[in-house]
Amino acid sequence: MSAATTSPGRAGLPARMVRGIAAAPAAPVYLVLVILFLISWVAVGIVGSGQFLTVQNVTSILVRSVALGVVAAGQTIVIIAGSLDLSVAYLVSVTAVMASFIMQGEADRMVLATGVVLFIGVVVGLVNGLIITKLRVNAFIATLGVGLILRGILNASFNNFAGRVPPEYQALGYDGLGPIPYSVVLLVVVVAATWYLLRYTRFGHHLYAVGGSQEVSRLSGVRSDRVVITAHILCSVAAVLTGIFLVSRLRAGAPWVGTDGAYDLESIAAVVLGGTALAGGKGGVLGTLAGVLILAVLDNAFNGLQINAFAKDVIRGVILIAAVALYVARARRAPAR
Amino acid sequence: MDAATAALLAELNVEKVISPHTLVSRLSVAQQQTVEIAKALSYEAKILVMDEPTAALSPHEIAALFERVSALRERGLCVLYISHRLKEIFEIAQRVTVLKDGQRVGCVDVGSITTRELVRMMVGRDLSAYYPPHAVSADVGKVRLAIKDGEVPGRLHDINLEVRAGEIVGIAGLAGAGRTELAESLFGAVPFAAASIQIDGIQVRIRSPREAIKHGMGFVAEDRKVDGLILPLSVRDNALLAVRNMGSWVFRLPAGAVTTVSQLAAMVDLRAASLDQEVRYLSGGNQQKVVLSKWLATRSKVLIFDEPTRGIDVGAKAGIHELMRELARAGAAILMISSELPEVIGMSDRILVMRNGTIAGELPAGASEDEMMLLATGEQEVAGAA
Repeated sequence: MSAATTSPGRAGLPARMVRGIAAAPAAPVYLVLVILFLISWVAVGIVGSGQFLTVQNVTSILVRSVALGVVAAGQTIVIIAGSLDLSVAYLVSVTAVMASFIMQGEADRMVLATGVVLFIGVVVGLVNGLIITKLRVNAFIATLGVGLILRGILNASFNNFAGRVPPEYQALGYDGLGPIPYSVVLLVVVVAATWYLLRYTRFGHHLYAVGGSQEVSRLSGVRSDRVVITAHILCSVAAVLTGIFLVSRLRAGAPWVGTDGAYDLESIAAVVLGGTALAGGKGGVLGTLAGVLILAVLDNAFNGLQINAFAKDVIRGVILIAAVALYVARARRAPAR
Repeated sequence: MDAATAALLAELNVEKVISPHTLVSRLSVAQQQTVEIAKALSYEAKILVMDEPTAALSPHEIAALFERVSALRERGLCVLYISHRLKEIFEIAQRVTVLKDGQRVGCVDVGSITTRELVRMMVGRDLSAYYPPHAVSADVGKVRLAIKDGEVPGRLHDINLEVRAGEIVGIAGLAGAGRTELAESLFGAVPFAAASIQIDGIQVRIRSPREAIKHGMGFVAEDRKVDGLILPLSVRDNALLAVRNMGSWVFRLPAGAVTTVSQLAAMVDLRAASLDQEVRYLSGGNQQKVVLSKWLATRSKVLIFDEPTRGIDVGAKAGIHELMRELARAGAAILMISSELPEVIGMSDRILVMRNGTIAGELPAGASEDEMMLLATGEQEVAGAA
């Protein structure tokens, strides 16, 4: 796992760093990302608009990655624990609508609205986790069901943009620390926090253990139910953060915000693309970040090349399947000793 | 198809209890077996192999099964009947073949052999000398684990046992006698419905593995790949799995703990490329050492081993045996379940023999395989049995 301990040779620091980076589990995904980025740069430069490696375009790729990246970080946590969350897209919509509905353009309601949506996130995650662990309903069905319930409630109560976001709240979507948008800061903070959680905390280790084998974890004294429930709460909170970011950019929340972005399946795709095993127990959030960026670069390049949306989906599908086939092949070839 | 099924069931005289439409999951084990026999009849099998068919049957079901088997034999079917219940062999078989360690020991007419002779054929072999020395009385300390009147309905009953510090207590018995069930209940994986459990003289309740671990117990399970190790995780993560969730700290073990893992690895003489290697790539012996280091990390005082050397090569086997003895000498109380009688005899300071979900009797160190077999099969009570 740790890159530094695997190469104790006498090589100099730079060489060791290179070897360490190459040995990191997420390295191949980043390699793919870099290659894809270069191809897109050349292709867009020759055939398309020529606007690829500009500050504006790269920033746009990053900002596009924020919404998906934050959800996908949460999705990584539940998938490592051997679970799955299909309710995130609906929760993103609920968050966007509720936040803007509560604020109604009033700056002094920002804290209240944020608090309420975070609370909703915690409750939804708790419900997901309890259904999966206590009722023993398969995660796929449990979270799909919760998602449908959220959608039903939302569509019954709102059918268009609801409320308004005050300008101060829109800062998250549009302002930044100098050239770095706040949204990118949000993504970096969420990914860094998830990385730390997975790698350095006891809870992180338990996630891998429970995802690897619930039975062995139980026989080793791990309270696996609690681990799974906590994972779902964190995942739902991540979805809420995405909802908050989206509503700050859209200026008002609408019930189709989450589903239009297909954050449920897209986030799972990004996680899998990043090398996390859908069966649980293996993977990491850095891979997921690369997966998200790969999807965003593709999107951006397709736009620059003016490729139609259907061809885009075909290519994305091919890439996803090819990536997973590659991981399986790599795992088979893994050293026997 | 219904008619054909009904005809087959009628042949076995069960057409009144089992209809062709009954779901097999609704049937009793005996009835399910009958369906299996019907299946064999449906394609006119010439040879019927039955592997421990009576393991889960009640006495009158066994009688019915035997009638059925005899009827099949009279129809010209050849029946290969595998059983560890010697009584059944004498009741149903004409000839008996004894297998041991994957080899044929011999084949004799049932009429020309006694139970005792059969048992000797099954176990008769020399004890290897590579087991570490037994505990001497000075090694054996106070009672670490004591169970009174342990019961799990349908699995275990009247479980009474004591294990002292410094002692290795072997648990012998045939397949289905309840040995693994006993281990699982002691460790809280399938808690006792009723029992009085004392650890180091203090009354405790063990309703989950977590509680068992808190009270200083460790369990090396029979199938390490299913119940012992998380295969995609590293040696380090597996070794620290149990101790990690017992402490009260939130963060990962600091640098000092990393030495602890290497110390653990050194204690069990682990051969791995690195502590970050996934345990799935280790040999059976090394995997077992990782499981052991998990319980060394929690400093377990009571250790339960279920088939500790199954699927492990001879060299590593001796290493595991040596480690178990060292742990006992350091004050641990050890329960060891094993199907290998030489292992039970070689390692145990006392031997408990299980039969039908309870402890059938106790034998001292150095008991013979014959004595154990007789207790385990219930062929003959040994004087002084508990």
